[in-house]
Amino acid sequence: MRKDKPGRVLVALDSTIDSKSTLQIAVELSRCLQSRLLGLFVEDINLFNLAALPFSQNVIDPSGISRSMNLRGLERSLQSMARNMEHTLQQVASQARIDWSFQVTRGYFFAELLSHAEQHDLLVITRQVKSNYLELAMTRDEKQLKAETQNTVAIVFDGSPAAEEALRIAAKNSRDINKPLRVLLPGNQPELQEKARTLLDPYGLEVEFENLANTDISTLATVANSRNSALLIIALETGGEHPEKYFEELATQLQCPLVVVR
Amino acid sequence: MTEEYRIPAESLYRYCDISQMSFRDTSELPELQGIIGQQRAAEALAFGAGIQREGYNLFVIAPQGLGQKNIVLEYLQKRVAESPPPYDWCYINNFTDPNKPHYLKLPAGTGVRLQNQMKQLVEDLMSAIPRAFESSEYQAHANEIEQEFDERQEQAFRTLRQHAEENNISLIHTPGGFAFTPMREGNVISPEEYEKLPDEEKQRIESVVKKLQEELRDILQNIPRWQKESAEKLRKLNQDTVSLTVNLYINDLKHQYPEQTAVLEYLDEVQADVIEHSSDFRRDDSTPEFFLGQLPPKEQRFRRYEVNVLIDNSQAKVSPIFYEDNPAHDTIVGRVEHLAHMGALVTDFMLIRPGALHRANGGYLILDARKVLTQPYAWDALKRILYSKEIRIESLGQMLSLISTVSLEPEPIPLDVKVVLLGDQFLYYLLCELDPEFEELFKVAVDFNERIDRSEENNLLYAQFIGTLVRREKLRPFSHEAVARLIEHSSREVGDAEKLSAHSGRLKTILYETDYWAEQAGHEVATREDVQKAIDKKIHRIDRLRTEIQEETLRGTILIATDGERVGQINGLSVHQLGDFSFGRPSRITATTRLGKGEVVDIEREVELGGPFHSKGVLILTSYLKSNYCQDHPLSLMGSIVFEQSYGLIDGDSASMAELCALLSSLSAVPIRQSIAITGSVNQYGEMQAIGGVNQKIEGFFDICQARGLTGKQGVLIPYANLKHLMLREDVISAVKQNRFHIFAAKNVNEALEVLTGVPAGVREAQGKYPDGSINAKVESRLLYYAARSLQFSKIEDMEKSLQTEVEKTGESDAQG
Repeated sequence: MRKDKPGRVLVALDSTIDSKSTLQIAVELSRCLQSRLLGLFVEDINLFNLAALPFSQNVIDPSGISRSMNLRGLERSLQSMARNMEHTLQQVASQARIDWSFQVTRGYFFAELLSHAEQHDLLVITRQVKSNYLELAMTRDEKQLKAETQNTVAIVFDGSPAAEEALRIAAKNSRDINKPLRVLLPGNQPELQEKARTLLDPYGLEVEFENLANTDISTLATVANSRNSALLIIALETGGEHPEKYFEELATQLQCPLVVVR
Repeated sequence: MTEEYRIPAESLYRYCDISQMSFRDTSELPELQGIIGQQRAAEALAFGAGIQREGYNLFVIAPQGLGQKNIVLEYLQKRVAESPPPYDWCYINNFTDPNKPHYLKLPAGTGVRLQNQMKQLVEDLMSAIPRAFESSEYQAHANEIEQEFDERQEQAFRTLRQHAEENNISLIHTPGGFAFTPMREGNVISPEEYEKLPDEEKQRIESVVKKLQEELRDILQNIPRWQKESAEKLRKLNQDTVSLTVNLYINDLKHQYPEQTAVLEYLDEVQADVIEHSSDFRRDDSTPEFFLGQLPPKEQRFRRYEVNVLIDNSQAKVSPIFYEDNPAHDTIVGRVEHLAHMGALVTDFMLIRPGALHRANGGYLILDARKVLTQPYAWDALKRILYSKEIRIESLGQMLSLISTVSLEPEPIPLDVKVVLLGDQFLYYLLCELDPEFEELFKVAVDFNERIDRSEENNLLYAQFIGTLVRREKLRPFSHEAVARLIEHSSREVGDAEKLSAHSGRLKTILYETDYWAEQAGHEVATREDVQKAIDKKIHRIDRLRTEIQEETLRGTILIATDGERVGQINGLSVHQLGDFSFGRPSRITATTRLGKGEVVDIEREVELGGPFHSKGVLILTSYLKSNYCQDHPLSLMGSIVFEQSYGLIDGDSASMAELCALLSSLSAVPIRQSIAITGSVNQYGEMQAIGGVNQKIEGFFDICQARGLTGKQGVLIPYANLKHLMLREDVISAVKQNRFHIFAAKNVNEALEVLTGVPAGVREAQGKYPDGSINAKVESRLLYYAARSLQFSKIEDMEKSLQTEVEKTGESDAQG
């Protein structure tokens, strides 16, 4: 059942992703939708399995130095990360004056995410790897330039009720962060564009429409990445019968956070 | 017999001859050109200002208030009238070492122009540079570089992943980096499953993982190089983008300074710096970095392109003449100010402030020597700079290592200045004596005379000087009689009828006050009476002490006899100095004599109330006694001299003649007329020598006599050499004219004794004896008597001694027996 406004936003966090920028996007969405935010930190079980393997070596980024992995060290490291993320969430959430909570869970990332997704209307996912090199490689000007060029909010609109809700959220967010909206339309369907335009009329936004041949993962990721999208908003139904696999793959290929609207 | 020593009334005052003054009042007089009666000083000033050699700075020797500063200023102003305007001096940022700012020497008015142009340049670049970076060409190139970097990275990882996947191994992200692991159904193989694998498989996996780790390490090590290459490309792109814009603006500026090599070099440095720091121009103060304190405000970011105009001579037409009235170290040398920023003291080239030397550079700097010497380190700094011929700004804190905050070492500015020090004689000779560097640096002494000759020519020039001051100070005109009175007063000021005072400060004072009294009297032109009133009122305001002393004398508290005769008692005269006012008063001096061992005791000296000059006078008169009366026998005298009722320090030898006369009176028993007071010093030959303050001394005795009633017998005896100094009050002259008071002048002690006693002093005759009855004969006789008595006493003493010896010897023999 659709509600007038989404109840809760869930942002999935783990040790490898660029948490701060993801958190900021999640907080921005929560603020704009006036909804509560849950930060879910997933301690990936794969890492524990890896650490238990006899040959496991961690090649440190960016030094390239190898170090043996061990369970106790991994646990300490993850706990420390969780604390840091909770602290970061507290800071950004209190600045934005939104209600928030933080939870730590252990399991497979997407399984845990989807198991918690039941109570949430909006999932913010990113698999953008936090790379020290990417940070180091850019000067202050270049970072600024990059931030400026990530100038669109992309939304996949297939006309479904969930997509309509996603479009409204995208429109609000686009207006709030003052970036143009790019509406991705599957197939060549003029009526879809017309419908979207009608829905977007009240927001008075700068909108670009782009027709996609289909909404498979590769197409969506290529389009979103090449257009320097700040985030991609998509309805849960677009994930088909195996949303877990679909969104995991899509999030991995995207260079920006993925927002799934239930 | 005293008649021959009387001085006629005409000699007591030198009037100014108004018939020689061909003007009615000062408004008819032309402006005074030059300096009156100071030929030596004028020549020295012209020489000192003209000679352009090292060390030829000037020291103007003149007492305070002579007006030397104005004289020097007026002279130098005339001298620089045709000189070119001085340069502007600026400090600019040193882009290589900001702690050592450079200077710019620019034609007058150019400094401010360059300063404004640099401000405008920054404003222009702030809009032009961001525009250049917003262009689509730049964006495309920048994206290209970034993509290239990303692609290289991605390609490397893609290949790595491919190699891993070929061996059923995955690259996964860990909290701190990357790791390789075999996978099962999309997840990391569990340790239990791994254990179940055959050993060969395990070995294979471990071997593959090891290889992949090596490969990953290579990639990670390559990334910095790719990043550096990308950054270099981006920097080059940025520079190219900025250069085009910056060159356009800077070249435009350069065309305006084709002859100024230093400015062109500076602009080249600015150009390079702007290109290097172009990013500063692309951020404004609304960015988060600014609010987080990571980005300094615009004013600070672009401060290094500003121009600190230290000396702006845009309004100057001629070389500067600068008088610094507070010549402290920093006000002479200049200083570097600091600002408190985040709890620390910071500074830069914009906080360099000029000193007097900067302001006077290219011209003349006038300083008060006493002030320079009393300000800590100011004198040393001035000398150091004059030696080095460059102004090096160094704070006292730095110099003395008192503070260790970051400071600047501004490039020293070349010095081309002539320093004029104003000081008095004492300071000049003290510096000559104590500072060996002084004479090397101040080779020209401009010695102003405090007194000038009162010639007819100078009288007229003095009148012009009065006229000039009157006009300059906007006073009412002075009549020629008033001017004449001022000239006479000027002579009285210096205590010499043949001289005039060069003290313009005092003259100005009397002019102001005369103008006031003239106004009170409703005179449009100040008259002689107004001048006299100003003089009288000024004296009246300050002469309370004189009145009190006079009153106590009249009441008999201070014992001064003005009639009758007394042996060994005389009226001496002394002068009291109260600021710039002095007055005379009589003092009773008494002398007593008896048989003694040839010494005259100066009681003042014994109680340490006599100064060295006074003691010297007493010793001289003792010597006179010995040489004049005791050629053949010892001076067997015990004399004592005292200033009665004196409770303060007495110095000077002007009472030595009085003391000698009192002593001779005591020895000869010839009484001294108490109606006559005496002043003058004496030498070993008995000659009477000139003294100071003769007018005040005469008037001091006159006032007492007049108060008691003039008898016609009263008067004052002065040295003959002091006649030229007489400028007495009108009432004294009037009394002399009426024979109610007398002024006598004597050349030696004999003449003085005759005036004081009415008895001839006596001159040695051919036989070597003084005439009988003369004072000298009586003195000699008394001294001979003392000598004879002394001889008798010495014989008795010898006899007593030998008798005593005999008695002692006898006593000893008895004891032995």
